[in-house]
Amino acid sequence: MKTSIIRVFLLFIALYSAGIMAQNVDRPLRVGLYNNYPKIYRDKNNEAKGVFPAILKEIADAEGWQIEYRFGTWDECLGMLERGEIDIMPDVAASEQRRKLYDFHQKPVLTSWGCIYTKKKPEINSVPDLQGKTVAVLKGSILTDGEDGIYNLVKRYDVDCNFVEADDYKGVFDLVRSGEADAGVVNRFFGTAFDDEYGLQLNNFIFYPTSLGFAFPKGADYNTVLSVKIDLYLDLWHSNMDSVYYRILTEHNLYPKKKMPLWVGPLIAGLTGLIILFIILALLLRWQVSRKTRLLLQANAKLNEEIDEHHVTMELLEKSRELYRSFAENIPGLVFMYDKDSKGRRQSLIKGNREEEFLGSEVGKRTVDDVNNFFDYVDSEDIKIIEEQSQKAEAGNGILDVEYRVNIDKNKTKWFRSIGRVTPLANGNHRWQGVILDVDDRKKLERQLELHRKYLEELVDSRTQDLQLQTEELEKANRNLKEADKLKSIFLASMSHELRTPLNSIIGFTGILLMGMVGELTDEQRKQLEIIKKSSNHLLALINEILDISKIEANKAELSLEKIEIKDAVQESISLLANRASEKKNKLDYVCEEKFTVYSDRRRISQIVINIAGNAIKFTDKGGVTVAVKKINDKYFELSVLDTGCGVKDEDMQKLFEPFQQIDSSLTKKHEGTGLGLHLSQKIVALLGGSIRVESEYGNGTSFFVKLPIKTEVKIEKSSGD
Amino acid sequence: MKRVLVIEDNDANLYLISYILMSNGIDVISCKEGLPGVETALVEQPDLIVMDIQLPDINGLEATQRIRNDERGKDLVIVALTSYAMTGDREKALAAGCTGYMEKPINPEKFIGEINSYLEIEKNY
Repeated sequence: MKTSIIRVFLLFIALYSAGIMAQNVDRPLRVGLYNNYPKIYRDKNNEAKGVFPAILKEIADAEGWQIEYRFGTWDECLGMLERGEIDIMPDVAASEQRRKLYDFHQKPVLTSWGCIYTKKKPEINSVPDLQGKTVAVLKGSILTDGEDGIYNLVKRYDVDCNFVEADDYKGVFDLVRSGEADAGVVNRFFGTAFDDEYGLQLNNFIFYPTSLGFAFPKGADYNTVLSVKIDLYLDLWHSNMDSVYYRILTEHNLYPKKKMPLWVGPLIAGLTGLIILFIILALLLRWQVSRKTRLLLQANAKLNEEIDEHHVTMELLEKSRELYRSFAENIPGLVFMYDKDSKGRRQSLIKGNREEEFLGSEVGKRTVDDVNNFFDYVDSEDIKIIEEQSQKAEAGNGILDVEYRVNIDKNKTKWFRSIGRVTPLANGNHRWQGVILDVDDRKKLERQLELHRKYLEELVDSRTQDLQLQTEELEKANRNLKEADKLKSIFLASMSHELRTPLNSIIGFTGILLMGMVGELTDEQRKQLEIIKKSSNHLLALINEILDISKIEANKAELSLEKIEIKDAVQESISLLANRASEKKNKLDYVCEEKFTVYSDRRRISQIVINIAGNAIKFTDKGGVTVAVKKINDKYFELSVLDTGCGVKDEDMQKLFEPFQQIDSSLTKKHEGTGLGLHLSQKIVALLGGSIRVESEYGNGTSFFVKLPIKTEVKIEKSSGD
Repeated sequence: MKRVLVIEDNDANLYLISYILMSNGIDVISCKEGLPGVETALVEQPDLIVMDIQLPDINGLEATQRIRNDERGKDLVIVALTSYAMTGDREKALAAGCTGYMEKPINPEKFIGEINSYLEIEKNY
């Protein structure tokens, strides 16, 4: 002890003098971690455990180092060490080979050696026994490919066997247990810790004893300080059997605490046997007692359960009663339940206390006395309905829903509704249960609603009748009006005829006289006869136009449809106007570039041309009138009349086609005419299935465009009567 | 001398037509109703019949048909007097068997010209 303290002291001095002790570790140390129980491993919480981490922790705590573990397989960790990614690699055997690759400290942490395990009885006693076997080994382990490792051993003895490499010792044991390998090579620590678990046997052959300790990357900065400090502590601990080092070993089952004397074993065995005997006896007795007790407890528990159940049942019953009472008292109706026998007598099954509240004091009391009494108060009409419905329910689906009146007292009747269900009983009676609801308010409202509805219906009916009457009257008036209109037209048509007949003779005789057939005329006589002739012709034109219009309006106008060369037909009509135009020194042009045939009424078209073009000539003083005909499309052609006359004001456009409306009354004298020409033309155009359009700018002439069908459809024609 | 039968119910018109015809050296016989007109036409065989359309008993169209239905009336020249405004009268007249039509009111000058041309037709038969 003393010597070691002195040694340590001397070492301190030596180190300080070398300046090494002054050097400190100023960053966390990265330490390799891999699974090699019990020396080093990672537990469930991912913490580093085992002999090496424990020792390192003691040193680190004392020195104030921070440790960070880097986990990997043995191989991976060695790789990290080589690359300098970790500062310390625990549990490395310092072989000659490895000393070239890594730096090591001096003092061993543990001493290890290789062991061979087999599944069955031990059979490997020396290297030659491995001949022809399959051997599982740890990849990269010094026990595998170290100087005195199994590979070299086999080679040295010239033994031929197969090797299977596993990533860790557990893998090695797995291979042996599964039979994939005949034998497995592990270190002594792992072997002792896991042989029972894997059911493997240790063989009488060990090899390659090695010192295990910490390795450092070759030439790394901290190597000196780390190796010196580690050696310092190990040296200190090795010499003291109570030190942390031995405690750690003991904790990991690597160092027996105390050695027992030889006699202790049998003594302990004997004592243990006695104790076990006592325990068995005690247990037997206790079992007997507890069995009886258990039976008693069971019986007791059952009794208690029954008592509890009874309590629960009572509680439930009470609860149910309470619920029922609450239900019956709070339901907005009167609950009933009675049995009805074959004679119709009813026996109530419940005793209510709300009858008076519901049915009034008299009916209520009497109903409580005897449920049959209730029915005496039901309206005599309604009781029949109840009886009828009840019989139906008893015979049918068992459900009753009926509304009825109850005479509460002399002056008061109330509406109730009974909803009930009837079920037949074994004794032939019927059990009725249900609820009586007060529907008086609703019924009254319904009645009011019904009255109102009826009132509304009546109102609607009377309004409808009024409307019908009005409609009929209107229809009648309309019919009368149409009839009158037609009569007017017929009247005008026949009147025109009657007017025309005498006019014929006036015109005829005037003609004879003017011809000089009767004798020579004086100038004055001739002048006056000319006036008669002119007036008569004007009158005739008027009559003829009125006749035309009347006929069209009376639907009596007839069309005389034929194929017409429209170019020639219009030319013909225009030639009749040539005199009038030249009298006013107006140009009268006619343009029709295409010859085509239309199916229409020649005389009606002529009427249109003469009326419109004649009109244009009449209202044009300077310039001229151009009549043009052209095809619009396959169905229509257009007849247009353009003049350079006085034009029409916008506000007068509407009046244009009205009868006897010459726009400017001051013009009346200047422009003579029947005043019916355009009106008639419009009617004729419509009759032919066409339309008429006017464009005009006041003072700048007027254009009429008449669109007419190329083939006029024959309308329903009525027989004419002239 | 040519002979023309005028069937016309209106006295004034009958007088006018007769006066024009006679002034032109034409013999005139007349009837004021349809049925006697038909009878006269068939019996007298005039060179020309001037037939008004509206007559008191049967109208001019029916009268024309009756004349045409008779063997004696087949070749007679019948000219209807139609009104200007009465569309269809001309067609009806031709359909009923009239040789032609003239328009009322009568323009004496035009009228006599037309009468003469119809009498010419008769000559050519």
